[in-house]
Amino acid sequence: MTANDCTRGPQFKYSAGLALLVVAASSLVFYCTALDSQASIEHQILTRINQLRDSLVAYDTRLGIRPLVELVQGGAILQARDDVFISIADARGQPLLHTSNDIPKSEAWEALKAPKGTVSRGSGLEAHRVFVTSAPLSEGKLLVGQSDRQLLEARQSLFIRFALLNGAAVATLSLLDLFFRRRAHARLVAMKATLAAFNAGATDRRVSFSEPIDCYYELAYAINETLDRTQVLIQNLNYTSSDVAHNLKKPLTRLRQRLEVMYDGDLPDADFKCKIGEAIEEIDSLATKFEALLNIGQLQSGDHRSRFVDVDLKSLVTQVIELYEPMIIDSWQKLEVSIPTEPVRTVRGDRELLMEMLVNFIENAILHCPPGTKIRIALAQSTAGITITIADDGPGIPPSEIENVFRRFYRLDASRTKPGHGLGVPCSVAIAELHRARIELSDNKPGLKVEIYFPANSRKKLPKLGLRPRSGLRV
Amino acid sequence: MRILMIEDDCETAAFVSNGLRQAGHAVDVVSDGKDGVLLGIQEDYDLVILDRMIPGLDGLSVARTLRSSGRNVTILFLTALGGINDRVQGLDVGGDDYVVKPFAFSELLARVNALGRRAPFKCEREKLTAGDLEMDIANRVVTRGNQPINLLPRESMLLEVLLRNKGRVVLRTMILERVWGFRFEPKTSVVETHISRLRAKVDKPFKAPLIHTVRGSGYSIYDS
Repeated sequence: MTANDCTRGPQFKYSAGLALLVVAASSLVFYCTALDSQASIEHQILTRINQLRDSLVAYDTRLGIRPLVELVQGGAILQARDDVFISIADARGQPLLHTSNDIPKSEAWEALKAPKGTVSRGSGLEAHRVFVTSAPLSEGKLLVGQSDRQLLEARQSLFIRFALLNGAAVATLSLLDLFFRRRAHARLVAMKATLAAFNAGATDRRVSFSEPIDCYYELAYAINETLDRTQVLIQNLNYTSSDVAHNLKKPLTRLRQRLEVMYDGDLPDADFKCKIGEAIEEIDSLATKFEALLNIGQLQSGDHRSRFVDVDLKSLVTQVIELYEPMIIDSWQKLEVSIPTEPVRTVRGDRELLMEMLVNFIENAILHCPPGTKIRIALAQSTAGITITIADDGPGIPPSEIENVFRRFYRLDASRTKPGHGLGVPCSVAIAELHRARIELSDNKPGLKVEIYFPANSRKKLPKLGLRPRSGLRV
Repeated sequence: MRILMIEDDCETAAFVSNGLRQAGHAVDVVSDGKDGVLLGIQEDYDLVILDRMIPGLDGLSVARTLRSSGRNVTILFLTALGGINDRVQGLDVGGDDYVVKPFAFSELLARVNALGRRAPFKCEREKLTAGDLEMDIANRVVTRGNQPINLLPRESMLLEVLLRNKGRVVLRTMILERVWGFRFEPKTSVVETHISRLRAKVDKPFKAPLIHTVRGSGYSIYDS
């Protein structure tokens, strides 16, 4: 299984869609929270610097500016690593104190002129704002300010942790999903391979995989049960074939031998000899029917697929035409051939069986059509598949009878004067089905049209029903 | 030809062996697969006629053992198992031909004779003749009484099959097998049509016909 196999199909799209949805939803929640925290940071800073300003002004009112400067310089007000800074100027505007190393005092006093006492500093990840407020002192002026850098950094680290957590969660889920999907896919592939092998003739193949027991396991069990049953049916068919050979054909062989000895001996009565000859023909006809029936069964079992090779239908059809053209001319019928000049794709199959199928329909056309009939044999290929057509403008088959000719032993010629056992079409259908081809009989207006269709993709199903079209069956 | 028949049905064994002896072949019969293998390896047979369902050792195993023993023997299966898979199995284990029971003795004899004539086929500079008809295999040139005859490729193949079995019956099914690679019984007289076209070129312009119809089974070429 390749990675591509796992990313195909609706399952992957659903999983990927769900993961994206989860990431988008959590990001939205985070974004809203961040917006909210922005406002709260601003409020928090303003409250703090205003409170500090008021208490410093009160201190100045009570003790004067010098003790205030000493108080601030003593470090009792500000804590280390605090973003808050204090600047005090005397009545002439000369600076007495400035506690920030980061923000120059001129910039701090300048900020007072900005709207809301707020200025932006730095850029990119370093971007932050400085909030300032001021109040007059007894002998000077006080400025209290704070940068939101630390608070922003705290928020940024929160965001990184959130993103890492989110990413880890999505990655874990994806890995789990991939693991389960791979296992499910492997199980489906195992089932598909087994069914394909079984259809190709390996009737002892079964689906097998170890625990855990999931819905695929249950499905595999059901498939194996069906395959067991089908294998028994195929074996029964082979036993039947062997039983028929032992119990019916051996006595028939002896009977035929005795009749043949009598026929070849000195028989005074010509009429009697003729009757023996007829009896031998009856035995041969009976044996042919047995053989045809057993063959249909063996073809339907699909065992023969293991022997398939690439068959060139163009050369096959050409060869059959070459064999039958003199016969058609001698029967005073006309032959029209249509074969493409370009090469035709090969199909996997058994050349002799395909030939037997074609010959069966061509011989039917020759035998059942009067002199003067035109027989058309055509081979055509398209992207959808290859079609072999054998059509005539003879008496044809009434539309109501078309389905019947797919039945075993059904014969249109009720008087049974023409050769045949009523197994030709069923046998041809069995050959077609073995090759995953489809036979369609239709009214050629006038005459009969037989189309043998080899789909390019034999797995192509009928839309919606999920069924493969089959010869002689209406879906 | 020296033939070994491995067949458990006494009546069939007697019917076939008598017929083959009358046709000039020497036939030994055994009814058990193991005996068949022992005899087949010890003695020098040209052909083994083998049933598939026999006691001791089944026909397929007998064929496999004979083949692996290195004996250059021709094997013809004569069996009631005539399904498509059965035939394939028979030819897979090294069978040279497959006749399904019930069978006409004339068909079996024709196939036995054809198998016996297979060995000397390989000489490419060979000239096949029947009466005043001559066929140069390598150059595909056919003459009758020094008069050249133009044949289509399939007609030439058909004549070759008849000539290689000169004096012996070639069945219609054998003609289809050898000339067209088909293995089935046609419902129509398709083989007759091709024979009659060949006759029109090979026999009609001349006095004595060489291609003869053998009633009910096939054709034979010989100078009468």
